[in-house]
Amino acid sequence: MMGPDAVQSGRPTHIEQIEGRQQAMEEAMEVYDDHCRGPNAPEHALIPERALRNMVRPIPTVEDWETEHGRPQPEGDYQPGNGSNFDAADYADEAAAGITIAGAAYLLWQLARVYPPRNLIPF
Amino acid sequence: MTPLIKQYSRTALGEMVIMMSLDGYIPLLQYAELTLDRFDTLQSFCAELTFAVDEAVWDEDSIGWYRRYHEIAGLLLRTDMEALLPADRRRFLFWLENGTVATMHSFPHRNLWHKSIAWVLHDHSAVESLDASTFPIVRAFAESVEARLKDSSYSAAKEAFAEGPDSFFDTFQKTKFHINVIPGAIVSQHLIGLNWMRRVHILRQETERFIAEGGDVAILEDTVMRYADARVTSEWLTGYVADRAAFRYDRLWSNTFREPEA
Repeated sequence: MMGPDAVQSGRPTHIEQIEGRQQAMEEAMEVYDDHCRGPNAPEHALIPERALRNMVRPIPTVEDWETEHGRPQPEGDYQPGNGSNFDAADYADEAAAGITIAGAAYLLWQLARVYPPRNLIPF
Repeated sequence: MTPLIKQYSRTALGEMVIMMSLDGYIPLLQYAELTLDRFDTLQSFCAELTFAVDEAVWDEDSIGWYRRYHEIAGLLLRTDMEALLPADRRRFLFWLENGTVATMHSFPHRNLWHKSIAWVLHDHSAVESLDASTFPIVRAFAESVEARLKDSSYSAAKEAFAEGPDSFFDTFQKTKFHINVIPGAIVSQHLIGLNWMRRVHILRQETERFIAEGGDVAILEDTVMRYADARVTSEWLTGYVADRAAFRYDRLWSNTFREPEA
């Protein structure tokens, strides 16, 4: 069960963390520009293109989501205790199906052991 | 609060307010070109803003730290700063209006102006992209900016702040808002905002000096545009690159709260 702050803290916390990393990357680029460019710069691997893209990637807004999906963002998708969209009922069904298959396999294996009977073939 | 100050990232703005509430942080502000008569008033003003939010907590059942930086920024944006002396309020607003933080989307053209300095100094492609007649002028300007940025006393002051010891109040604030400034760290998250404020204020001052000495600011504007054309390729920044008018010096800074000439 998630704490009472979990729902309200979700979006600001993630924005904070993403922006913090973007800021740190921008700052790291300053260090890079100072020490890793120019004729006397030490040899080093290039900065991955993906990192540079993410450094300036805007944080998606609710409006972005709605534009992408063509409908209002539903409220209540994210509920306390249901953070990973984990559905216990679905899981129970899948588990039951798995147990049934395993049980049937076990029974077939046991039947194969006892039938035909060992003394059915006379040698 | 002014539209320019509203452009800041709420997280970054709130973080700056928290940092300005710390005893150890106040001496760093002079290096970021903020000059006030009463820094203690600014500090207590910022501390009051931080007191107004609930205590940040770590809940193992929750999803992480909730530091409420954006709430503090929201409080700053709603206040009229009457606690500050009128002259200090004006200076502080001028400082905020003409600053930037590391995130590109808050003040993109100021960031691009700053990034063009490193391009001119360290990237060989700048020589090919710029005119031979103007390159020495731009290079001299970039060197003057860099010389001021590389003031070792600023690095020493930051290191002294990181090493501490913290006052009782700083320890309280750092615990409450999960601030951890590590001595010797190359990139210290909570000092990034100040670093960028310092960078653009020095850039602005050096540009003003360049113009006062008879320099043609159009050369600098052209350099930044060529930098953006050559190096800024991100799909999320093309709109900024295309907005040529926003590169202009007159559009870059705000004089709303500039102190009148003596």
